[in-house]
Amino acid sequence: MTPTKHILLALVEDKPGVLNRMSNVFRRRGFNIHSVNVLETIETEGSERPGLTRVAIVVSGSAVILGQVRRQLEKIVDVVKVLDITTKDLE
Amino acid sequence: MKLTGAQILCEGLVKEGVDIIFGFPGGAVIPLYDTLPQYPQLRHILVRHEQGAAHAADGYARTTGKVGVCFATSGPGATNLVTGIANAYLDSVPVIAVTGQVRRDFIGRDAFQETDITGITLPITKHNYLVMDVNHLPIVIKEAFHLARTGRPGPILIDIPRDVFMDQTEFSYPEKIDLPGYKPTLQGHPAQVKKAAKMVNEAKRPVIIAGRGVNISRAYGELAYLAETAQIPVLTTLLGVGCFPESHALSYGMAGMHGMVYANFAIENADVLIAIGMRFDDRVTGKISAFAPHAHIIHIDIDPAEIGKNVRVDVPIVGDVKLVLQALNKQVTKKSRLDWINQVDDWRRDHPSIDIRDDDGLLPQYVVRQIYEITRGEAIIVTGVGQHQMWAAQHYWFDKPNRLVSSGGLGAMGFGLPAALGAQIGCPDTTVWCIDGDGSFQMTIQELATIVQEQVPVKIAIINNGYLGMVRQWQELFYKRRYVATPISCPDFVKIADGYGIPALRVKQRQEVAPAIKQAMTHNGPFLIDFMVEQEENVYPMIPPGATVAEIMEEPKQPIKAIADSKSLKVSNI
Repeated sequence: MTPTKHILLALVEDKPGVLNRMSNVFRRRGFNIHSVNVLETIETEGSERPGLTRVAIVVSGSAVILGQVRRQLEKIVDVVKVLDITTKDLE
Repeated sequence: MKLTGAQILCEGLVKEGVDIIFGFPGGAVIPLYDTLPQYPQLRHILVRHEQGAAHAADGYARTTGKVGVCFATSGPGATNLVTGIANAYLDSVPVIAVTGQVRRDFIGRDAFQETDITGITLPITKHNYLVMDVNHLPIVIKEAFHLARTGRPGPILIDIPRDVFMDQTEFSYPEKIDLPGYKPTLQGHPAQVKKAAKMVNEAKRPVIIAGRGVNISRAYGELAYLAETAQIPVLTTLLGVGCFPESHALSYGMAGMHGMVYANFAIENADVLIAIGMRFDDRVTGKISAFAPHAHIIHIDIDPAEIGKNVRVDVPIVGDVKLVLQALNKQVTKKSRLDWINQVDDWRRDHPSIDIRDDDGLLPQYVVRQIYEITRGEAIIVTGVGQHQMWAAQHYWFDKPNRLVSSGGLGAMGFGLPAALGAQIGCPDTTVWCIDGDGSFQMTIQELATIVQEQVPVKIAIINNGYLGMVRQWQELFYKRRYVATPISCPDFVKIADGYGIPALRVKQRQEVAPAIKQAMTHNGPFLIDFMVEQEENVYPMIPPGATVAEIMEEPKQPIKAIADSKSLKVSNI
């Protein structure tokens, strides 16, 4: 399977060191980050829990690798959810 | 009423059911230690090195099923815990490590005895905390225990600055926790369970590999039901040993690098592999691409990140092993599978794997077997890492879970003695034998003093071959007998023991083995036996690292040297 770029959006708790915990997963497991953006939390009504920060990470890899990246990130206690928000526009 | 941070920590420990702490004081934790006398229900065991505290907490946790707790001071105290924390992480052991930190206003200034221990332990803890406000302490303690003992258990480190121990606040222990990012899946997905049941029911040559997850989940009954109902041979990993009685007709022992030949043949020929609470370590799989080549794999594990990490899995089921097996068992049909069972039995007959050869010398396997006989298989066996560890796993048979305590994932030499200390304190009514190597033993030998001070009746059997034996074995087999840095001298262990006030014997002859073990057993207190075993004995069977089942090495009929010279064994991934 050819590696393709994916955009992952992680919803994380706004706790000290959370970005360090996430980047550590990439370093430790040998995954490659193309870019990372930390977005300030915008409180949206009702849907989102207060205090959650969004981290957008562009990574490339096969489906197997992507699955591992997501699951390893979600294993971090401060990471609430990791979504794959890749769209065709970005290719 | 206002309490100090140190008091809050102690209150939290008491509320979480802790009664034993393994630790070593130092500057940053003096306020904590100063508070301990107010909590007589917390027994503090003073180790001689913080690594011993972490391993002891680990051994305590594995044998009792409770959370093990260790204390250390900042800086070197904290870094000395690191090996023990990594060990607990790799073997999924619930351990809480509390470290002191320098005062908050000193953090980040390279203060005396300051280390970034949360940074250091980030990849080897399930989670860790630096508590910068005494008001956060109650919830941190509550969360730490919850995280340590639920889901896939693991070590949690709580780093507390010296002045936070001394700050005061109103104390109330939280009832609830709110961790939106931590919700372990317990029930297996019904559709996946159904798929797995169908696969099991249709299997001709199914095999179960059970790991430590079965112990953690206490799924012994469910595992036995599955094996017996569907007549499936059960193999275990090193850490799974004892989760299924080894005297059971369907038990085919440990699989993997030093596993039974027939166990590995069963994997090689299986059409369905049911992996339960195990994580496909390379010591189990050998060459990944050749592992279980004919099998569809069902993988049951509570950690989603383990699914598909090392091997391709056909039916993953994320969930608690006990609950998943309960669901699976409802859909599994009764089968006899006589042909398959007979086949595996034939392999067992033709490749007995652990027969001890008739030899006038003092064989290490014989020593282990004698300990097994004399303790009637009822002891807790704690090992270091190396050849003796494998012989203990092979030649002592465990019918009960959590009786073999061994450093599996990390393979940390020096684990034996402190872990045995922890196991014996956790299980005061069970005989605990520390079977250790002369190399491993010397790594944490200082804990002999702890054993004496705390009057812990651990029995110690040193399998003394004058080598770092496992490395020597690899050098013999794969490096043309170039024994570089593996001959190891040791002190007179009997005199050493005497110096610590522990009675000891040296055993050189086969006929002295049983009487010495019996003497140790009748002695009311710790006892050490230095077994001077055959020096160049090897652990067999062996699948060379990175090799396949086809390359399995059994105890040779001809001298090893000839084999090593004639075959150029390829070694990869060492």
